[in-house]
Amino acid sequence: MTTKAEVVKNFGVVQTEEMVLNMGPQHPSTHGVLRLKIRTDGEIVSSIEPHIGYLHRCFEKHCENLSYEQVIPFTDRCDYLASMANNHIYSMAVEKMLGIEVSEKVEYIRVIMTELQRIASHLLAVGTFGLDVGGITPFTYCFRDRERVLDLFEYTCGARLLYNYIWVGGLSHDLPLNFRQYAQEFIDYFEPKINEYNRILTYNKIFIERTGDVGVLPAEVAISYGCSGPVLRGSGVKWDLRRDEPYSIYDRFDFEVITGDGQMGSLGDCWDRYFVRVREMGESVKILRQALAGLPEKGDVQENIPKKIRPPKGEIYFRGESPRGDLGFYIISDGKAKPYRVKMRSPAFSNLSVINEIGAGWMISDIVTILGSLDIVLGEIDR
Amino acid sequence: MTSFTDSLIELLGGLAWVPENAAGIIFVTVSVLVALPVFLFMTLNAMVAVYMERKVSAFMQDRLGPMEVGIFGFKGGKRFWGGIGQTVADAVKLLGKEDTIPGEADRALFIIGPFILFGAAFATFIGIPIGYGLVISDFNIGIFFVIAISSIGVIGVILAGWASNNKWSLYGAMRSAAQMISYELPVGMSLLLVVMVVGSLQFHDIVMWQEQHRWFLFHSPFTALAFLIFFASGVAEVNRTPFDIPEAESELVAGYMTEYSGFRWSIFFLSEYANMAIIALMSAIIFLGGWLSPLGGLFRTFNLEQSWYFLEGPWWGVFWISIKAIALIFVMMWVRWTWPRLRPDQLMYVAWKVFIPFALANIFFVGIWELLLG
Amino acid sequence: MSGYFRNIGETFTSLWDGMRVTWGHFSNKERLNATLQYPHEKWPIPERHIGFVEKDYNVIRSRLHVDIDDCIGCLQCERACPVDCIKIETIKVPKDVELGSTPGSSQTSTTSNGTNKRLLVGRFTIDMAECCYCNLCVYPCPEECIYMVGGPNMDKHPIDYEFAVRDRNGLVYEFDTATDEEVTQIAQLAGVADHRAQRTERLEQMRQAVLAPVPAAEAVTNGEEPVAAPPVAKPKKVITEPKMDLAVLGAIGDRVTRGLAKKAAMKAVRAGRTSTEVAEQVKAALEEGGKLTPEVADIVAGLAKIDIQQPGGAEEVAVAEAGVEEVAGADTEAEAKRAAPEPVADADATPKKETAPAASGDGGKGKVDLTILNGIGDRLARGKAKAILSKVTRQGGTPKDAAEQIRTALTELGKLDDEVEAILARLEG
Repeated sequence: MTTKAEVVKNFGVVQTEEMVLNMGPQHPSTHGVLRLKIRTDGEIVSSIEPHIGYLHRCFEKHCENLSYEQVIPFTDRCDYLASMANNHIYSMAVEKMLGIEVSEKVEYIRVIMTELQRIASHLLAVGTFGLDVGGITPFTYCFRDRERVLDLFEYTCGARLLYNYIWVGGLSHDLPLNFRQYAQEFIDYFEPKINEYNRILTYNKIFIERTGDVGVLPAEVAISYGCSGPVLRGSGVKWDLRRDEPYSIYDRFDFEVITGDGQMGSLGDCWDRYFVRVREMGESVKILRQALAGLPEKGDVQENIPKKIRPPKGEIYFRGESPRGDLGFYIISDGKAKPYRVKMRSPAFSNLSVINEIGAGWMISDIVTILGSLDIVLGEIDR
Repeated sequence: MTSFTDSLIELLGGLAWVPENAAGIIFVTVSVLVALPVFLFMTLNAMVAVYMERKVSAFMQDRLGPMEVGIFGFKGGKRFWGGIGQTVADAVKLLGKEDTIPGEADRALFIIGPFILFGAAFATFIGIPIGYGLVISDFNIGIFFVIAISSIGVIGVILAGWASNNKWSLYGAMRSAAQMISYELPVGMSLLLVVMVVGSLQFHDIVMWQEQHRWFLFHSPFTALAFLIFFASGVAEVNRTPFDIPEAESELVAGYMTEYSGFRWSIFFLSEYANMAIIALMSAIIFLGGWLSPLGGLFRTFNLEQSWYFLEGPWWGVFWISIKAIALIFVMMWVRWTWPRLRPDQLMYVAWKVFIPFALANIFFVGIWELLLG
Repeated sequence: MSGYFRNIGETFTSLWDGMRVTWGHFSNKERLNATLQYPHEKWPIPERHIGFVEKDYNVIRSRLHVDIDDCIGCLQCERACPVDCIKIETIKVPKDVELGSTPGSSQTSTTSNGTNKRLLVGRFTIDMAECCYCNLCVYPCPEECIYMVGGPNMDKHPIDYEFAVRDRNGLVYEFDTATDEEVTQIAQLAGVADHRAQRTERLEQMRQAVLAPVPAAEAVTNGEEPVAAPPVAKPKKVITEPKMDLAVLGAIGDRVTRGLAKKAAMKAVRAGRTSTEVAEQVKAALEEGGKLTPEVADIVAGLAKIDIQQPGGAEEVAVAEAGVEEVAGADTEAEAKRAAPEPVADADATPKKETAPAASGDGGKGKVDLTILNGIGDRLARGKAKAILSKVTRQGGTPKDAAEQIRTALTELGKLDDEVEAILARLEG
């Protein structure tokens, strides 16, 4: 029972309580089945605790019971928005263990597919980010263009989402007739579209107000949390495995590593992370142009596929740049047909872990924005 | 100047078989007779507007929208105007849905919440004319009545959000309350300057003034600005993007409507689209000359022959006001399907730091303008 | 203060720019429309020639299909499957028994590639609900009889991509055609446990597991047919089709080209062409596929010099690719057997043969020559035609009836073309 004196004393000092709010696992903007436990004071969020594991499918344990080539369809299902990149990096890891060199043509096709996949993945990230801040139309534009990438994939290997296309030592299908022409058509169609996204979303004042200066991630924090990909580059760190540890044939292409520059606020805000993705699509187009020009006509894409994959005893860690960041596979072989252990280093997991650091102190609306700017895929986080 | 209610009362009172001193009977009959068209108008409006919204959004997003459902075997156009029965089908589905009330909800408030919102929208229509003399009741304080009554709606929203016993609903309700109250001010202020110029709160008088002079949109730069502020605040009043934070589907799931389903939910929906129509109609009447033909001014300016004036009859008036209102509703949809959403604090910023100062300055400048030029 | 006004100005210009974009889309809705009204129109899939079975094989992964007549039961696909959705059970056929030699048998003794089958496939089910569409089972198949079908290429496959079922159990596709009697018979001969009982038991378990009947199970339809007590064994000369040693084509380096060439050659040989014509057709097919290079042309020209072994010829082996050890073994066994056919004494055999309604056939044959139908190029049409022919023959119909039925069935599928018509005419004659 408060006395009258106490009421008078506390007048003007409104006593409030924190409320715990569960965002997810069923929520429109958690990009899958993520649950965020949020402590809020009114609209202001004081702490965020991500709870993961709703999509855990024992990927790593599965791998121990599958032969090396059978793991590839499972890597598809980890980061289901960038299956080609997963296939590519896993296959390269196993190839390195086996000491296989793949032909020029295979390398080119792999790079083309991975870069197309990067465009598709970034389109989805950009579109859903627009959706998170309330703009619905950019989302449909992005999906419309993403469909065209998926059409190319379907034409090549018959699947639109989970390809199992890049195999250890080769590819499952050769490129179809006229693929070069179709891909060229897509690029020519797509490049001007980036400007359209910029007009409707990127330079929209409301969008800038919502994302600029929000969720600022300083470079040191990003590095200490192990962030990678556009999240890290958005903070101004020039780190791209395609350039820094060139694998496959990435060292042959001329492209820029895009970093954020704090154009619409501070360095490392949501807008920077978003814009890094938009500009990376342009860089992917650049790589695609060069790769399509250099793609050898002749060559068997399956000539180097080993009949039996039995890597020698040993272990390997191989990483590459997936659309979300450094994707790594750590494989231990005991010389048998099945891997002894497969560990996947998922970039989205590290990127998500930074959310409390950059999200606390912002409003609920901003949490949605920040989460969208991290571009997480729960299939990869939970595996 | 007659109104629908006045004529009805006169008609009933003058009938021979109606007993003397039967004011009660006449009152009830008239109430029912005037309520019916309003209700029909609201329902029809929601159906047409929903269909329009779906089509407009679809075309802006390179889609086709509903294409399959037809009425009486008529589906509409093959390529673009298909699926004209879609909203009818949706309405039937909504009415057939189970009406769920959450176990922990405050039942009484939960039930009356949507009806308060609906009642406010319903009552607002009483004062809005849709043509010369085509008004349920022509108040001499028309504008005041409309603003006052439409603000009641916020109570329904708060009740709904609170009674749902859902944290997301509560957030939606709190945001909604803050938003609706804030945006009342710029709305009122931009109307104030029109009242100042005309000297009357009656809708008919405002339109008459525009007939004699010119539309308020073109009257002076300040009234044009006032139109902009009024329309933008009106969009905020009806909770549409970019001001749709109370139901922000990517943040609050569905805001104060989260726990509602079926009939109650459709009541919310009905009110929302009715509010859209109210804002569009009010803008048309107050700033765009109401039921005046846009050509009328031209005829007079160039002294065209009298035979062209047939475009200004009372029924043509309904046509012109509908065209204007539909154009404004289209703009609302256009905006909604283009822009992102504001954050709650930015929303407050826009209201208190942009709209209200400008509206206040506007009143001052319009006063000077009238003094010097009027 | 100037920042404040600049902010407002920027807001107006940038928002207006965005609105111009959407207005551009709104006013160009006819040109920019991206919707495909699905049930009324289906999206076109570009033509795709793929490796070994050009034209038949659709790259779209929509459903697995098995040409069970070509299956030799090598279990390669079952092993390749990462999710174990393919279930195969086989019984080794004893050396002296020829598969498909009994009247009314649904089995063929050789695959369309000419490999002898030494295993009876008693069960071949694929649970498409489990399948992860990874395509890994397609590649190891030595007979190329399991492949993905579907996609909206209606002219290629009548099976469209709406494989929707009302019951999850309907996604279990049974491809095996062996009747229970055959399974029992072969099992007895082989001296292994009665497979039928196990199979019935398993089916029963499946039924109970989902509490719903197995729809369209092959076993059920087969069970309805009147089957007399099956003869234990039946010695019979293997009916062979014309064959040609295609090993020459193995010299082609590119896998895709090789597949194309082999496919075209097989088709031509089946259609009864001379070796020169075969070479020409292969050339034409390669040209169409854009794979004809001078080296390849030389190799293909070599085809013309090879003799085609006509049916009735004594020994022929045409195993294009080395299969499993079992297959290779089976082949030599079959050869040996063919060289010296020992008639197993069986009293029932002769009368059975006479009562067998098959009209055509030279003395050694007890039933209609199914291999006539091998000339049909389209896999599904061929399978369908063969199924109808053997069914009609079993029920005592003449080849004419069968041809009529095949015509109706193929017209429904839209597969009846001049080529097929010619083959059917041959069947009637």
